Amino acid sequence: MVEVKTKVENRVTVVSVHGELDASSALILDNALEGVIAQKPAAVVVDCSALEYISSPGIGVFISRHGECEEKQISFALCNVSQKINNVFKILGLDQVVKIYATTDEATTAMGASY
Amino acid sequence: MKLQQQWEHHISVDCKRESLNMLRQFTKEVLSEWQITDEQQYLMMLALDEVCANLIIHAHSCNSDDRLDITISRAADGILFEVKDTKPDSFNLTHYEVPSVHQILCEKKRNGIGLLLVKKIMDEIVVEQAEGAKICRMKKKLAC
Repeated sequence: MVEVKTKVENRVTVVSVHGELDASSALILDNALEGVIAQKPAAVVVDCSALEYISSPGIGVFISRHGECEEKQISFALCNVSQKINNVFKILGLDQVVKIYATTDEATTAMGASY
Repeated sequence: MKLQQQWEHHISVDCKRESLNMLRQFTKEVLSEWQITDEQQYLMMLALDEVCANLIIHAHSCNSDDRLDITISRAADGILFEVKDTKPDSFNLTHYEVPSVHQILCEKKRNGIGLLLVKKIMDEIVVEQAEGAKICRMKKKLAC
């Protein structure tokens, strides 16, 4: 299962994902991000520090919501991505498209300064 | 579940989304027993998860009366995965034209990511019909 928490930090909405994002749970994150983006924040950062596993439905959520943010001129980034998950992103080239920061502080500072 | 040291392990799962978590736990235990690195374990677990999720959701419409039989075995040069689906007319992933990475990222496509990952992660993928079932065999080679 997955649990999603959101908070606003330095004018950036941080979405924390806990657990596993697979075919049975990706919709929970998708709905959460839909709600966050609908509020038109300046930036969205997904904190992956407690994300233990991700498969294609979860990756699909990141890709499509990143695209939606681009269209709406909302900055979108990931942070605290584990090496194992980053390897998967590299296979797809996702790390070249979506901004990935090492820490939440780094992400919120960069994203807070970028709008 | 504590597995005994052996070169082949088998599990049978119901065709429901909730089975995927159990399958991942099983895969992780088997590959840990064979001292496969965490990063390799993760990729193989992901590829097997993608194949089974595809069959469960698209071929079986999450009908929990149906089952998939999965065997993981250790070969001299790698790990073999076999997914046996008793629905012979089910999906054949080798016939599916997966989108390119470029299409997925530029067109923001959600469909096809899983099978693209399977093809990128696994070194060999064969689907064949045998004994009234469709069998998907995949191999991940390991450096000696």
